[in-house]
Amino acid sequence: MVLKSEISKKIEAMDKPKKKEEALTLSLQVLTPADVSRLNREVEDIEDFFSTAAVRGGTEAKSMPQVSQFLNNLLKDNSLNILHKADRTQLGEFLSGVMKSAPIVHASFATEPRPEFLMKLIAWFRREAHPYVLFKIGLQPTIAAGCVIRTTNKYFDFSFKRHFADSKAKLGDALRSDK
Amino acid sequence: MNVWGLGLVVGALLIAAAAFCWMAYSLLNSGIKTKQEIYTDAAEKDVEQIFNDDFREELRNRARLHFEKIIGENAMFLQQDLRLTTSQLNEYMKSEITKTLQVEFSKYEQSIDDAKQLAIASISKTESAIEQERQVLHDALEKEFAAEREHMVKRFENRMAEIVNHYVLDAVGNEIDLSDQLEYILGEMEANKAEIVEDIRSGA
Repeated sequence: MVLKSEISKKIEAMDKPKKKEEALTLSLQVLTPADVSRLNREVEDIEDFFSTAAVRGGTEAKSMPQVSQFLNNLLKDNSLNILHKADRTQLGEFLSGVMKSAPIVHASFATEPRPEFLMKLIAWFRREAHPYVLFKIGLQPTIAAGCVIRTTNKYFDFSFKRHFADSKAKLGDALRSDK
Repeated sequence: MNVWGLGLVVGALLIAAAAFCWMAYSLLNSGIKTKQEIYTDAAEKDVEQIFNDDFREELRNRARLHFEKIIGENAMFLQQDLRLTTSQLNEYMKSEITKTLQVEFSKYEQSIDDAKQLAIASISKTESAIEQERQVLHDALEKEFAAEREHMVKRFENRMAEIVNHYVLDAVGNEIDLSDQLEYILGEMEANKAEIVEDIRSGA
């Protein structure tokens, strides 16, 4: 009886969400809405797997979908266990919520940025502005260097192009002084 | 007696008078000489006796010699006069020609001087006009050059950012690593942090 009660307690504990949705953190590797969507789909696949297994009662041997490194990191960062239904549910809801409400920042670069670079940038945004900021990355070869950031309502040009435009007066003065 | 009869009588009288006059005149001219005429005739006869042919020949010869002498002297005088006149004429002609030539030359010189002055004035006027034209052209060109230069500088200034950007892109576009730009980008983001954060939070 004691064992049964312990097991039931454990199951309840497993099913009980560990954290509220707001408390979950989005790992820095998750950069874009596509990443979130992919993670969400992955979680849904796993959820489907478990649902199917529960319906079939374990009569059919089928391996669980492989957990990606991204999802694994997310689970680790949030101390979640994908085997637990509550965690899966919480993670699924969290990811859906992020998909719906996360602020999107459009960032354009002259060349394709590396993930490490983007992780450093998004770390700043998540630290300073919002913890679930996501990037939409674009390419603008004409900006030469730097980047262009576009938030919901504003446009920030951190490119050399703008830098040159700001320094136009200096070059104009230099040209006139050669007369 | 009528008029015709009277006429015949008057005519007969006039004819008789005319015949009388003619007879008298004929008598006077034909035979009777006057004393004067008699003397004249006698003198002529004497003269013919005195001035016979030899004498006349002698006189003629003398006259001829005298005449020749006079002619020779006159010829000599005439020759001298002619020479003198010729030399005087020559001198006169020379002096006149010289004078005329001098006058003409002076006129010619004067006209050349005038023409020269005119030419110099014309050339100086032309030079002045050319100089003015050149100055105007120079000013216009300078103005146009300045305007063009200003236009080009303005155009360059307007597109300077693009030009420099394009140049940088061509020169080092492929060699700029984004990691090297991280500090710059983060610095810019820090500088605009308030706006970025506000916009993200208000939009989230």
